Order: sequence, then C-alpha cells, then structure tokens
Amino acid sequence: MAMRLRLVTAIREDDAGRTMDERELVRAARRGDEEAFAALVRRYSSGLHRTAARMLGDEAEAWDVVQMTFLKAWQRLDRYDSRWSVSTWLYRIATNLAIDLMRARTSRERAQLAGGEHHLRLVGDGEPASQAADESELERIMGRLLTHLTPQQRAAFVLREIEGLPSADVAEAIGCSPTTVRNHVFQARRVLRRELELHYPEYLPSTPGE
Amino acid sequence: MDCDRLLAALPRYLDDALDPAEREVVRRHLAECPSCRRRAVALEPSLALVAAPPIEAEAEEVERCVGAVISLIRQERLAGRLHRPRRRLFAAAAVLIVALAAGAVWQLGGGGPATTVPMGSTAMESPARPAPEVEVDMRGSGVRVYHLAIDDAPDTAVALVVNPALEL
Repeated sequence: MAMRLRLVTAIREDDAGRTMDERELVRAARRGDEEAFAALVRRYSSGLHRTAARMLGDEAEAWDVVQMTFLKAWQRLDRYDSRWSVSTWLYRIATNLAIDLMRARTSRERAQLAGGEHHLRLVGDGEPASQAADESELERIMGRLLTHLTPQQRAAFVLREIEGLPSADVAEAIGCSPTTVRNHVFQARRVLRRELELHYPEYLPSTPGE
Repeated sequence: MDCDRLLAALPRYLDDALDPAEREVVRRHLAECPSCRRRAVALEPSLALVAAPPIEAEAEEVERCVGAVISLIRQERLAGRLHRPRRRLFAAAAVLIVALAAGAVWQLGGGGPATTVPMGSTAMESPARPAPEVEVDMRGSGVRVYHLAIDDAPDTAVALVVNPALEL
C-alpha cells in the first residue's frame, strides 16, 4: 500500500506569492513567515533546478542542491543584500553548492557523467518538429562535453550562455569579476570545441571553402 | 532583428561585445529562427546550447521540493530551540563548578521561600580539607540536580542542573 506524507500546513500561492514582490517575501520570511518562504521556493525552484542540473549533469542531485539552497537561504535571511535581486542571491548559493559538489566528484564519476549514462534533460522540447535531428543530437553531445569543463567554467557557461543571465549577476553568483566570467566563457567554448574535435569530429562545422 | 543583421552581429556576440539589450535580441532571434540557429552553430558549435528552450519542472516536483524545504526549516527551528536552553544550562553548570572550587554559596535567583539541596558528598569530604558546603535554590523550578563526585580528585565536584523537559 502506498503512503504519502503530506504537508499539513496549507500554503497557497495566492496567499503570499502573487500579492507580494520577492523582497516583501524575504522581509516576511525574516519574521518567521513560512508561507512567504514557501512562495519563494515555488517561484524559483524550477529555474534553480534547471541550472543546477545543467551544471551537475544529474537531475536528482540537482533537486538536493535546490533544497539545500533554500535551507541555507532561510538560515541567512538576515544577510540578504537587497541591492541584488532575490534570484541572483539564490543563484549564488546554488552555484556555490553545485561547484562544491563538482569539486568533490571523483574522476570516475566525471567519466560516467561524460558517458551520458545519467538521466538529464538538457534542453526542453520547444524546438519545431522540423528541426534537423543532427542539431538536437549535437545539443546532447555538447551537454555531455560540459563535464570536461572546470566547475567555474561550467558555472559561468551555464549561467551566462544557457540561462542568459547578465554578466554582473553571473559574476555575483560565482563570486568573481565580470572580466573573469568572460574569460571562463571563452575558455569553456575552447574546451568544448577541442573535445568535439577529439570525440565527435563528424559534428564539427565545415570550414569555409569546403 | 532580421536574419542578415543577426549573422552580422554574431561575431560581436561571441566576443561578448554587445550591450545587454542587443545581446538579448540576438539570443531571442536564435531561439526563434531555426535557419539562423543552424548557421550560428556551424560557426560556433557551443551555440547549440545558447537560448535553448527552457525546461520547467513538473508541478508535482516543485510541490515535493516545497514540502521538503519546509520540513528542513522546521527541523532547523526545533534544533535551535533545543540547543539554546541547553547551552544556558551548561553555562550555569560551569558557574557552579567555579563556585564549588571557591567554596562559595551560590543561589540561583533570590527572594521568596526556597527549597535547598545540600551539595556536600563523601568524595569531597577529605580529612585534610573539608568540603565546601554548597546550596542550590530550587524554588518551584522542577529542575533536577545531578551531582558527580570523582574519587581520584576529591577537590573537584561537578553539579549539573537539568530541566527534565530537555532530557533526551
């Protein structure tokens, strides 16, 4: 017989989420309002999960990161700097947790992830059906190749190129300067191209004149 | 932005030389125009991941996450409540030890009728040095006092004042 544990306290998005902006929600959470904090979780967990999954290459591990991100945020509510958006603050916590996890991985774990055995939806299903199959295959391969980047390069590439965050927000999330973010992204592109040449040369774009 | 302008802007996109608004226009065009996307990827393969359609978590997954986070927060709050008074009690015990060493009489609180507990013990009754007499005021608090005597160190005695509600 299947049993489910259900949260008894009723938390409705209408109560807090839609009527309060994110800074008001943080202020209410600071006063111990769990419903306001739950509204923040509801608002940002999907985006944080997508980002963490793209960094880690593992969806289940990414949910653990999201939960830990919100627990840390709750513990540090009084340290939230309102000059930054709440999402940037949460991205910073999640990115640091994901970077720590990536650093802790053994080389064997990295090789397994690069082999594509894991379950990860790197991109959504929003592409038109007519899109060439080669292109979506290339997206999957690029996703696997992300595991060849250093944790910092990977975080910068995912936040800046895939999620499209502004440079200053990425710098804040990773804890470096915008110039360093730029360098991480350039290095990441270089590594991805090198790995593509090594392992999947058939997907390399043809050079002009060919 | 038309396709020709997008392709002209791509090198500057790759050099991170576009301003934020231009950059956003390029990303949106790449996401919406399969033809430009293919040509862009032919120029730089990593652009296959740029402006990829977003993945949204299932509503059930989000609700599971909300429940898990609220549970973690409640555990955290409970742990905080348990630890704070305990720290105070340990501090009180430390004060008591100092008081014992000095042979002083230490009273918790003051005024009103007091129930006193004698704290002398056989271990402290050394013939060379009489044990200090210690009294602790237990006025209606319901706390328990544990007295630890150490045979090898008759000059040392430890008394623990514990709230039974916090005993695990």
